[in-house]
Amino acid sequence: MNPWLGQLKKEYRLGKGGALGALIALFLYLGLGVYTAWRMGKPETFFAFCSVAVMIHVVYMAGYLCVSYFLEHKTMHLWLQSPLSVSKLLLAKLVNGFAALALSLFITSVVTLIAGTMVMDVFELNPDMTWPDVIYIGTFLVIHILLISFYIGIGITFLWAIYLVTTKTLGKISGWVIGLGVFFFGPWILAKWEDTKLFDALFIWGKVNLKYNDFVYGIFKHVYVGYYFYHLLLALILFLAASWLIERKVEV
Amino acid sequence: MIEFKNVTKKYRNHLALDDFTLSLPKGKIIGVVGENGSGKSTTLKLISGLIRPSKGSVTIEGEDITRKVSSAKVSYLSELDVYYSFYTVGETIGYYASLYRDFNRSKAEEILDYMKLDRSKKVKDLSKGNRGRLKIAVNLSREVPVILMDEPFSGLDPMVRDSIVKGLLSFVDFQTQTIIITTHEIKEIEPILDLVILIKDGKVLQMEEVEEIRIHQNLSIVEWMKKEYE
Amino acid sequence: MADDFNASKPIYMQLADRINRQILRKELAVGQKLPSVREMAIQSGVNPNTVQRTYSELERMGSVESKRGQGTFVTENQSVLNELRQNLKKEQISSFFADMKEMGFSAEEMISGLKEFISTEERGEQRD
Repeated sequence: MNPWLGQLKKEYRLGKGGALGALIALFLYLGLGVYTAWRMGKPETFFAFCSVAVMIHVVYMAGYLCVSYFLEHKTMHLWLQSPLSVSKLLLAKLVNGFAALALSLFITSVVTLIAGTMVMDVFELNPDMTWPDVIYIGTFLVIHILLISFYIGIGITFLWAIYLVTTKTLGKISGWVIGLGVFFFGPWILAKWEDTKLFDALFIWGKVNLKYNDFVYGIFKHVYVGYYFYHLLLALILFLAASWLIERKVEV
Repeated sequence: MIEFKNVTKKYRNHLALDDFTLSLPKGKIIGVVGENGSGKSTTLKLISGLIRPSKGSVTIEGEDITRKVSSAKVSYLSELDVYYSFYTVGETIGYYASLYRDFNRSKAEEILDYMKLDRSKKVKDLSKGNRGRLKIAVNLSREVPVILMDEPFSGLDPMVRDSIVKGLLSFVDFQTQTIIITTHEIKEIEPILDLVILIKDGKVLQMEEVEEIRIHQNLSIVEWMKKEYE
Repeated sequence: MADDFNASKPIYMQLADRINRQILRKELAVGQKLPSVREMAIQSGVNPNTVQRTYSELERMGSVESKRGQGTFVTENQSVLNELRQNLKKEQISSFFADMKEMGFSAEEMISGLKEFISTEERGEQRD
């Protein structure tokens, strides 16, 4: 068997417990939603529960990876002894996390779709709404949740690499301080940079108008291809930096 | 075949190896001995590529050791008593067989039989002794030039130690493989060693042929070690 | 296994001694094949290189012969075996003699003591 497939299977086994736990939590939560809606006599409450469940998936990868990285700490020497490069080792975790995310999000989306169109009849609330609209909005949302969740997962991976390097070389306390520093200041610095004129010149291009102007209360009127390209680039840089740091700087 | 040239290894608050120079020959069973904290484990970890020298160089067959170089040439048994606990014995072997192209599956099966390990048992349910045996099975099944064993006997009862020594003699290819063992249980491996390296405070104190120590000094390794340490 | 050897004496010599005695006791028959180096290493729990050295030493002494590609065999040359027997006897006697002499026994005392010991030993064996 291909070594990476073997690694993929190992990560599947490592992550299985957590993913199942998350799924059970999801069902319990949705059950609570059904109960609340029934007690209040308002079916639309269940749809609200479902919407929150869908949105919460943006942090799914982060949660999955935190568990996976935490569990791996005990077996770091086995993990690093592998003949695979660190980028492939990380990718095995990311792919498994993404599969678990996709499954969980798929289930939640189907339930939400049922809740929105049958329990709380969206077509009755908004007579302009048609099935193609629902599919369009749903697809847009699902794709973006997948992307954002994966993106945050890569951010977590980078933080983990920073944490590993600093705790080994500077000690546990400094490791946490630097890790938290990057966690809080990293996004802040990025936000500052994304506000600059240079950023706009570089990445705000390829405007695509969305089909519905009043889509989600008019927040998303259009998107920029360049902006996606920027985040893709940033994700790639973070991933490669994390791989490099662990490959070259981490000792066990 | 393995060369340490003026290697210094500093950790945050201590010096593990200090200007350490050593040349290890091919096809021998080599024992690395010394008191706790003398640098035995650090020496093996440097060969395994899990750590890197602060100064100096460590090479294997002329190549600088990195994680990648080492993973193709070295099978490393860690002193840590940890494996993926969600796997069974059989799945653990399967995982390593998929990971390493040099993994000899049929040899692994032979060792499992020899060690009387139940393939369907979960790693987390194994006794300490059987976890030790499983580690050896994984370690010896790889057809690589160098086999490293960091404290393979520690915490194991005499029966297990015996099966490990016998397993080593039965399953290692002495024509092509070099074995490097660190241990405190010197008596256990005394009759199977070719060479012994004595380390003190991060430096190589002595390297000797074991039979020469017996022939010329009429000393056992433990006696020799005590004498050299003083 | 390992404990059977004296850790401060060369193991290859101890193993050679052991095999020679087995040959003299006919536990290893004339012309019999010795275990391969690896088998012997596993049986006795010693390094294969040590076993190799033992086999070379035995070959030098003449008690075994190695046949190319077939292995190592106990020699069929009876005179060599006789000589080996005589040598071992001489070795034992000379160390016995040296020890006794060191303790101040005379030659007569040694001979009479030996005779007496042997006769009681044999009587003991007959009773068993």
